[in-house]
Amino acid sequence: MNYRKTHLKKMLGAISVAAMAAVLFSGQAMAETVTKGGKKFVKVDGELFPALQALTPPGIPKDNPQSVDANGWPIWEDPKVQLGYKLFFEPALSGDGSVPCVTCHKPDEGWSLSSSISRGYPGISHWLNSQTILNTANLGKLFWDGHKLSLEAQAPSAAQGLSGNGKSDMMEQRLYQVPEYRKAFKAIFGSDRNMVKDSWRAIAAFERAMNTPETPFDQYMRGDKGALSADQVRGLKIFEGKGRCIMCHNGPLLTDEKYYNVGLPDQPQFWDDPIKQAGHRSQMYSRGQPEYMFRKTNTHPGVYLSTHLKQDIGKFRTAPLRHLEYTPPFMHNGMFDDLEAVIDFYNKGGDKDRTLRDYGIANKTKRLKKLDLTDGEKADLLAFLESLSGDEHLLPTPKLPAPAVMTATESTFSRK
Amino acid sequence: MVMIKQKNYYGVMGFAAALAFVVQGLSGSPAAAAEYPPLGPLPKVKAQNPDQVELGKMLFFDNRISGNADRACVECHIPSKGWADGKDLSLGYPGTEYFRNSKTIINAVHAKYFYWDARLDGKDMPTQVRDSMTESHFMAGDGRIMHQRLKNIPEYVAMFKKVYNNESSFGRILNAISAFERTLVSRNVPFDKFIEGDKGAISAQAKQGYDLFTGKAGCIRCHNGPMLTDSNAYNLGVPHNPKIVSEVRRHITMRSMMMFLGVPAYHRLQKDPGYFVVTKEYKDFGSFQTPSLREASRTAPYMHNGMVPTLAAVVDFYNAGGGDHKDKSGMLKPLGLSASEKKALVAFLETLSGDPINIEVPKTSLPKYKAIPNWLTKKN
Repeated sequence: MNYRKTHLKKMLGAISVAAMAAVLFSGQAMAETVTKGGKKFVKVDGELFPALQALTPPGIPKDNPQSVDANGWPIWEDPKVQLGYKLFFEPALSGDGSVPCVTCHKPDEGWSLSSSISRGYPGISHWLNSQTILNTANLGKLFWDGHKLSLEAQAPSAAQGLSGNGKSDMMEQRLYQVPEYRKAFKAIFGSDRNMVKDSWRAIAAFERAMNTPETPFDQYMRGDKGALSADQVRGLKIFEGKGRCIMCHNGPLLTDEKYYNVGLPDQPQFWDDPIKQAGHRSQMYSRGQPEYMFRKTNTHPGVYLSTHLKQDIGKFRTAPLRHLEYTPPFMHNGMFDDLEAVIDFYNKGGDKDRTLRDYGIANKTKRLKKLDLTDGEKADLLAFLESLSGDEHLLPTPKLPAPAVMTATESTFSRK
Repeated sequence: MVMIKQKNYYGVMGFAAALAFVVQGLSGSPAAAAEYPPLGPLPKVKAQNPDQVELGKMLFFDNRISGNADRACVECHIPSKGWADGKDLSLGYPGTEYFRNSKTIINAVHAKYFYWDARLDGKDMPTQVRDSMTESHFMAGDGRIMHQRLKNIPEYVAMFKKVYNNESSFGRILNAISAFERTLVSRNVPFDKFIEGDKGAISAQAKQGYDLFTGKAGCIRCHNGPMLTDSNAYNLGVPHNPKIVSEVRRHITMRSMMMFLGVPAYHRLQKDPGYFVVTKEYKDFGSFQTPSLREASRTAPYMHNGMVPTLAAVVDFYNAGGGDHKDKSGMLKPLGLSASEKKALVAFLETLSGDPINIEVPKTSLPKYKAIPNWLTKKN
């Protein structure tokens, strides 16, 4: 508690100096920090936004417990986490036994995928950019359109949908054929008869243990003033002020988990790749839109797929920003290959409103304005964004247990 | 909708069992062929829409209607193998392997029930096609995805427009493949000519085989009617195929399917439950539907698990009174056939095959995916 108070004072001091400097240089109003109800907020355009914070330990759901250390961080050696680690790499958890979770969330690609649009199951394509699984524990909404509300619900949605095409009965029996899994599930979940559902729990526990709380940004936020370089600190001020980033990327997760149309350009891969077209359409088809909408959704309508509210067309959940350095390309349609392009995009206030173009509904967020960042400010902002990444989080491929012939002695069918 | 009507089934079983009793000579009177539906020529099939058949034929050979676009119907129903696959146990979806023998689809239009375990209604062919195309062990396709894939293949778009005056849909895909399969019927069958009065259509040896089939050997007790099957299920004591356990993917597939079909203790299953999946009666465990014998000479190996390699071996199997199983059908007793009688039976069975049906749509000739131009303005 103490270090936070000290830190707050220093922050306030820094901000007011920065604010004054900004006023002097650009003539624009800068953000100020406000404490309200014991919580810190940053004021932009007269609106309050949750202040940035160091990563907090994950909440552990009551129906999927896992062990945590004294500070509340999941313990890596927890057998459930270790089982989830294996299952994350387990190809048995897919339709044709070729697409484990790790296929689209690769350790050396920031636990995401370095292609603009994620690959789908063989023979079809995904329709969105793959996101990192790191630091996802406290997200309340998963996927770009936020349609799954827990890690336990996200995993099967990916493994059984267009990404994995896994069928639960087959996956269940594939796992059951592996003695080591039967033993592990029995020990961890008390049963080896519900292995697929329990797999999603184990994978979620593994993902909850996949955090990067030691980034320079997090250390800085916990009070280590030396953790950020001078340009990174300047970048942080721009993030909270002139850059207006904090209006959406705020709080400990650097996302407000709300939905916005930021006026992204169209992903041209959909124009000339028949498989991407088919993948996009089949997803639009199976998500249950009214037909008149399905017929014209040639770009992803975002959270509209869940709400069916016209004003939601083209809105996507604000992306969290940790581990960013390792997860290009960026945006839901992977339109930007590097962070410079992202900064340039926001610097010009986003692009045209495609929802207006395609549906006659103007809903591009008013928060985006021309920022007039100087090259130096852009460089500072970039330096700050890099401080959110820290060291690359790599893990070796685990050794997967092998299936074994099940003989009559261990499994005989008894007649009545 | 799907199941063998139980009342009927027991009725026929009882009747057959009684007759079997008679045949064994315990009451002194020989089996009379006339008491069974006579073998006969195949009934005529309604003409199909040729455009629909053409579309169905292409889809039958097209791997893009499976889940990972790597399986086509033709891979387990190969024209040169009598539209079965020549293996003891068939392929299964990539990542899985199947645990039963592939049946020919020739004359499937006349089937009363589909599959070895008779779990689907023969009158509803699109459902059988749906089952094969979507189940995780066959083609694991997703109707919504295959529909959208086809919309990116202009030739298919044109064909669906022509046949249905509409775009593709999962249901239309199933109906088109069914229309194609309905055209796969035996033609120019020597036995059919013989039974329709052309006495020279089959050899004297085959005629002797026919007499044995309908008489001494008693085959007709189950293999009767135009399709040479009574469509009932029996336990013949066919030897267990050890591969369904020793090859782990087959064991996984069998348990997965039985889990889906509601078989108790599926996770400990070591043997194929067969017709049990329909009745859930333990007396039916290990029973399988009598297969049609048409085109049999082209579809070795035989039985639900491919454990009998040739027709001669099949005759030997029945001559020995079937296999060794405590629930074996009481109808099976040693037949005492001589070597020449056995040969005659095989000669007769060979007359049940018509002209080979050679249809090929090479993979390379299938139309290619094309991007839809003007993507942003084109209606989906």
